[in-house]
Amino acid sequence: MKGDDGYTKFFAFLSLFSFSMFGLVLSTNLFQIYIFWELVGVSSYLLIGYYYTKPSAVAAAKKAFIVTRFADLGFLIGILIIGYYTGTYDFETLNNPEGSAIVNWASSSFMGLSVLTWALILIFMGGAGKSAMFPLHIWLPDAMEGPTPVSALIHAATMVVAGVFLVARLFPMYYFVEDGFALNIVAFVGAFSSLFAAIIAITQTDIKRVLAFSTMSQIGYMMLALGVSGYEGHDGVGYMASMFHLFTHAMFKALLFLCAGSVIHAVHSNYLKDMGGLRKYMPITNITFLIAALAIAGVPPFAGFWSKDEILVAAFEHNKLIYYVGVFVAGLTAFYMFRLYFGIFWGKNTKYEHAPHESPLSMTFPLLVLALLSVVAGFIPFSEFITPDRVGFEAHLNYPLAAVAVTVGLIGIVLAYIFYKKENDLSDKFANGFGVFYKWAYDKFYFDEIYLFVTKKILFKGVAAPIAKFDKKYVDGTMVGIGNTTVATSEKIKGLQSGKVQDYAFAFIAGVVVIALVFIYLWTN
Amino acid sequence: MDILSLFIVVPVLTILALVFTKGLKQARIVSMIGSFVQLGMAINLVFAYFKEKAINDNIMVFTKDLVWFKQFNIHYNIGVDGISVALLLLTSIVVLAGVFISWKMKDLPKEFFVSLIVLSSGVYGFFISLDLFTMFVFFEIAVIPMYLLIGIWGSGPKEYSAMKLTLMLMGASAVLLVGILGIYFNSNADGGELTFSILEIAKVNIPFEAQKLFFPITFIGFAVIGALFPFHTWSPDGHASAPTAVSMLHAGVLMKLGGYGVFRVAMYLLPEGAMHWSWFFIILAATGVIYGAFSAIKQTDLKYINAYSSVSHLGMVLFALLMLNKTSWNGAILQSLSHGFMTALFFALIGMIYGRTHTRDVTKLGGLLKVIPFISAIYVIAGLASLGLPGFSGFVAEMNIFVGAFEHEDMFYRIATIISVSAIVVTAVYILRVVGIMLMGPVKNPAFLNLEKVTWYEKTGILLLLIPIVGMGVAPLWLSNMILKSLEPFIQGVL
Amino acid sequence: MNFSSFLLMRHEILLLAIILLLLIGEIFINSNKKSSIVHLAIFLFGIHTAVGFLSLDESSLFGGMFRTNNIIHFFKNVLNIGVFILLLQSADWIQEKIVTQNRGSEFFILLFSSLLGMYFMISSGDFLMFYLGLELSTLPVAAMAAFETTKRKSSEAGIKLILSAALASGVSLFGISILYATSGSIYFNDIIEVISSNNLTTLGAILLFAGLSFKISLVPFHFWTADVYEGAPISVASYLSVISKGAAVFIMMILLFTVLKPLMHVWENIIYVIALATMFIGNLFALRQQNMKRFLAFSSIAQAGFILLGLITGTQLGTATIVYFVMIYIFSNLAAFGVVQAISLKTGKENMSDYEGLYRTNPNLSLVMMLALFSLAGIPPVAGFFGKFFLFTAAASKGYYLLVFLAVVNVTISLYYYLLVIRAMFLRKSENAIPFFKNKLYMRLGLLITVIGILVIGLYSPLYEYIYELSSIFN
Repeated sequence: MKGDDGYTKFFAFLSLFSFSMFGLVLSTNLFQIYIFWELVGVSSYLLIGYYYTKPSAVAAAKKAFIVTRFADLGFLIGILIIGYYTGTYDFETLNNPEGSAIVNWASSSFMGLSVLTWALILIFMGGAGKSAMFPLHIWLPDAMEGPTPVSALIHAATMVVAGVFLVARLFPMYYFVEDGFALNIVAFVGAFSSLFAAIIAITQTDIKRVLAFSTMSQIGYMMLALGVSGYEGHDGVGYMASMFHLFTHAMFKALLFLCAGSVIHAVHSNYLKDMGGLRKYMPITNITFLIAALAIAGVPPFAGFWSKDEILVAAFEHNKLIYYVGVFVAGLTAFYMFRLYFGIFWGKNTKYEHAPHESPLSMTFPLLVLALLSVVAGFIPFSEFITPDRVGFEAHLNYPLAAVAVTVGLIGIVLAYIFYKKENDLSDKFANGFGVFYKWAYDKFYFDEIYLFVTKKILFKGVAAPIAKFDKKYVDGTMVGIGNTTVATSEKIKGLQSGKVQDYAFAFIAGVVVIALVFIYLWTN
Repeated sequence: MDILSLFIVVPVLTILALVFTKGLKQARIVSMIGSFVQLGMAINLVFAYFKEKAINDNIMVFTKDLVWFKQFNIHYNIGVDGISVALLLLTSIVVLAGVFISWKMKDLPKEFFVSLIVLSSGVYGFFISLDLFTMFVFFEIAVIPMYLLIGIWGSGPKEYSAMKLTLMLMGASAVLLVGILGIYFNSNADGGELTFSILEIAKVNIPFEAQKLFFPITFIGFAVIGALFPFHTWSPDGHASAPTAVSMLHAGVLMKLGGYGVFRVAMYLLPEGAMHWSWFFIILAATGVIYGAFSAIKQTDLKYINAYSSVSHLGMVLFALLMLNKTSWNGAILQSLSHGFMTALFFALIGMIYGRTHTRDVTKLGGLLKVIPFISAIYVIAGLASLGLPGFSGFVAEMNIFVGAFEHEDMFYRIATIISVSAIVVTAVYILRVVGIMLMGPVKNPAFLNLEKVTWYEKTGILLLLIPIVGMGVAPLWLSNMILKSLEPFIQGVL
Repeated sequence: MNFSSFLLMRHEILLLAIILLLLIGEIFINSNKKSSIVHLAIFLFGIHTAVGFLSLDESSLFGGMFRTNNIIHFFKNVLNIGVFILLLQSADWIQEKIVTQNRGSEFFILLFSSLLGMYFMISSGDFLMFYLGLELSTLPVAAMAAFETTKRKSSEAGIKLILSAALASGVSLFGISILYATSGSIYFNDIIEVISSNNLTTLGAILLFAGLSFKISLVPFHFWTADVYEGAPISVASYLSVISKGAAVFIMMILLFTVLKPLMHVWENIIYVIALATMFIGNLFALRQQNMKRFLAFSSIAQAGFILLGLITGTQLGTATIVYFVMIYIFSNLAAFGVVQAISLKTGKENMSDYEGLYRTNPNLSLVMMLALFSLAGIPPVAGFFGKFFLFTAAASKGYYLLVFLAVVNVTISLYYYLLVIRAMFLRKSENAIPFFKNKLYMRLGLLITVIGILVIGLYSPLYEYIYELSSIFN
């Protein structure tokens, strides 16, 4: 960041973010978490829009804030509902399985569901926004406009998992209220998002965008893990796995982003087409990236294997469909990640104008640290510490499922190897085989366009503009019209004052006669 | 001289002193001193209020009651409670900020400042009055200078805007007069005398039929100046044509008279009428909230954006008041205060931008963050405060309103609340849109590359307004408690 | 009748004496010191006004034809103050235009004669005295209206006034005779005892009411107002709008509240309708006016409409608010007319467009006009607000909320056209603005007194209390 304009501003905003995030995590009640939630959103806005002279950055920052704001609307309404119907915002009180909040969930209902279910769904809406779950995901890819450290920290590791954290924080409520109705929604949204993002990630050519969709996909995993979790003892493996994956994902995703930043810094471009064969020039980045890629692909003994495995175990025990989706996504993950790896460091031997060089130690040191963590983090006995009912349990490795997951991952890696290690056009032929579906995936299934359409055409043109016009023409028009009518009336009757004394006399007598007739004969009290 | 009457005497003295000044320099110094003294008095009042409340638990303190027109039982009756104290503080801060912002008022400066101070004296008098007649007198005193202030020192279609504003507001106060007379002639319903005293009337049970008739009249009479839909149309043109300090005072302070009047008079004295009619006016208020926000999206003139934004925020005040419970009333007053500071700050900033670039058209501006960083950064902060970011006053106010409004027993009201809450998204849209177009991005017009840096008096004005916004956002408890405690007698009276 | 009872007619006698003194003075003053007649007139009238404040007992003379009580006495003093201010404001005009034609004393004599008629009219105890007063108050004014013999418009004004007045007084005389027919007496006290509500009496009342309404410029008897105000000299228009109108209002109030009290259920409806018509017509016409004199004419018509809101009540409150309002109205309107007079005398300009940019050249004069217009519009804290507010309170006390609502709508309409003048003076700049000029002493004094009145009367509550006490006879 050195040499960038507003260098100090960057660190100020970063500190603001840290403050907000810590506050969010340490909050003990819904209101407090909402406060820090908003502050996190603003920090994100300021950081994404850091390069504020670039119109694309400005637009991205605005998009991020507005989408999350919209999600926060749901969050706020959910808070209001919970506050009103349970009388408390405190997490301890709300989450108490024997507390009145959970026990009495059925006491009020609205349109067939308990009001608390609605509240939880709305709160999840808030979480979905912050965590870029479908369909509130559109801001995350654009958020890559921010400086790379920002992407690494906020949009990979910390802020985007806030939604997961929120659901986890309220997990007992999600689990018990209406037999986990809201929790099911969490699971399906998570699973779908995971799949959706993975498919798109396969097609993207901007490496940061690939990573962005990858993040969305991995968060989908975390959500679905929560969604399929039970509560007591070993049943809570989903919950545990979700948090575990959150933890490990932070390591390797941050590493991936920093590597990407390193690469982008070296070749001055974000695009795969401008890269290739970089293993010769940037060895450290190469190795660390590889480690991260292996971790995310779920290859043992790297961190990602352990957490992903637990997620799949939880899914398998709860909902087979979600399990199959999870496995499929694991394969896709491995594939696109190694597509990226091979595309950057192997593949074609691009001729570079300025020979890219390895980044300085200040940048490579963190890479090494994170790489180390990506290796060892998986061995932390998470289940001793993080469970829904706060009772630790021992997690076992489910060998059959693990084997399936690893196999699928390896298949993905091999496919990527075939397509991308050496320069060839196999990938293009494969892509063309999918025909129009490929294009759809490449264009992110047009959700950005849909949103733009809704906001620009429907909301701006269809709602806001007519309202503004209505105000000017009709409401204001009425007020001004009253004035104009008065003046017009004045014009119309001016002829009464004719200037002729005879008319005056006539009016006088006529007046007397009329008054006499009316008040003597007609208007008798 | 009692502590409250000084609030009227000091402005009058300032005006007298101003009459003898010659030229801009003297006029502005005199005005600054006068407003500064006023601010000191307001701050002092806060402390004195706490001290007094500790020993004396009356609804109103520092009261003074002089018979004025015996036959009508009109008294010069003044007093304050926590709410009035807060609003007095708001007024004094905004007035002082306005004086600073007008530091370079070249045309007829003496008359300008005189009109400004007259307006402020009307506002002060209004907030301390406990007698309907006196309150009404001050209300009109506060409104009428607007005609001159906009008509002489304004810009654009100033004559039209000034006339429209004045006629609509005075028309509303005319309607209010009927309402006041209605209340007055029913004030002997319990067998006492006819009286204009608010505290006395509050104890009387005015017959329901009368309440049903006079509540809407009184409510509308006050709410027009609080930008109730659909009577808000004086506001966009009025604000746009007015000079900066006048917009600040008007949106920041004058429009608060509406909410205060609704609360102090219409609801306090006609509670059953309020309950009967609340559903109807809630619809209007909620419409105003959403409607104002959506209209703001489409505007390209900065002042119009802010004007419609005010319609939206003030709609919240009325909305909250109509919910008739303690939390939402607390929110309504906090919102009045918060919005007062915020909108004054916005208008000040807009004035500064306009003074430098000579355009208020957002589409013609761009990249100002690079050129005038201080002003732009404060604009961003103000924008974030306006959309209810925690840490600023807007959040505190809005949360109180939402939570309180949601507590209403009736589902209809809760749905109305949800609809109003959605305004937070629309607000974010128009705020960030402006920030994005105007402040961020590349510098659009090369002529803007060299704009004058912010001056000391502008900075002072800005800080005067920014500090309360942040203060209220970060440490609102003392204020909130003060208000809540003052609300108690009203809640008991109403419910 | 002895000397002390004769003194009950102190006002009238003094005024008569002044008239005679002026007549004599005219003969004896040198031709080269003709202007001293003005000083003499003002001086004498000043004394008359001051002396008028000495207290008077309540009694009646001439077998009940002439009566006086506290409120009548008070009102005569109010009229005196009004005429005094008027004299101060007219002094310069008279000196410049009239004295030079050797007609100085004529104006004063006519004016004082009219005033004398008003004294009789409001002190009347029977219809004969009433009619005498009515005629005596009207005829000289017609001559005054036509005073500027060189101007065609002045003659036109005079003719229109005399013709309309003749019709009106004929109609009221007819009404009086019907009332005599139904009650058998022309003495008010006698009529009060026997009067009952029947068609014939109502007819008589209506006719009488119509005749008086002419002087008050109520719709539809108002048509003469604009033309006469426009054509006559400004001082005469002033006089008509405040003094003449005020006196007529007063006597109408007395008649309605005492003699015609039993018919209240009829006349209160009549007043309701006429009040609305007058306010609306007055305001609607005023909107369009460019000539300041016509403007003020229609403005006064509207103001008369407001006065009717007090008249509709028939109570002590109504009386008090009417007297209070008329007093304030005298000050406000005289202030406005005074400014118009000053400008007209200096520059001959009488159009609103000529007033543009006046504040920048003549700030003090503009401020006086602003105060006057605010008072007429009813904006606090100047006196006009209090006058209007209390009138509305009186009407509301009888439950006429709809009427009050329509009245406040009219207040808003009137505010619009008053603001038009302010707009011209303050908001607009003009290269042809009337340049700065200084008024002579009398005019300045005249304007000063009105300004003080406008500022102080409203705030100073004992004045209202005093009037209220006096009104207790009408309970």
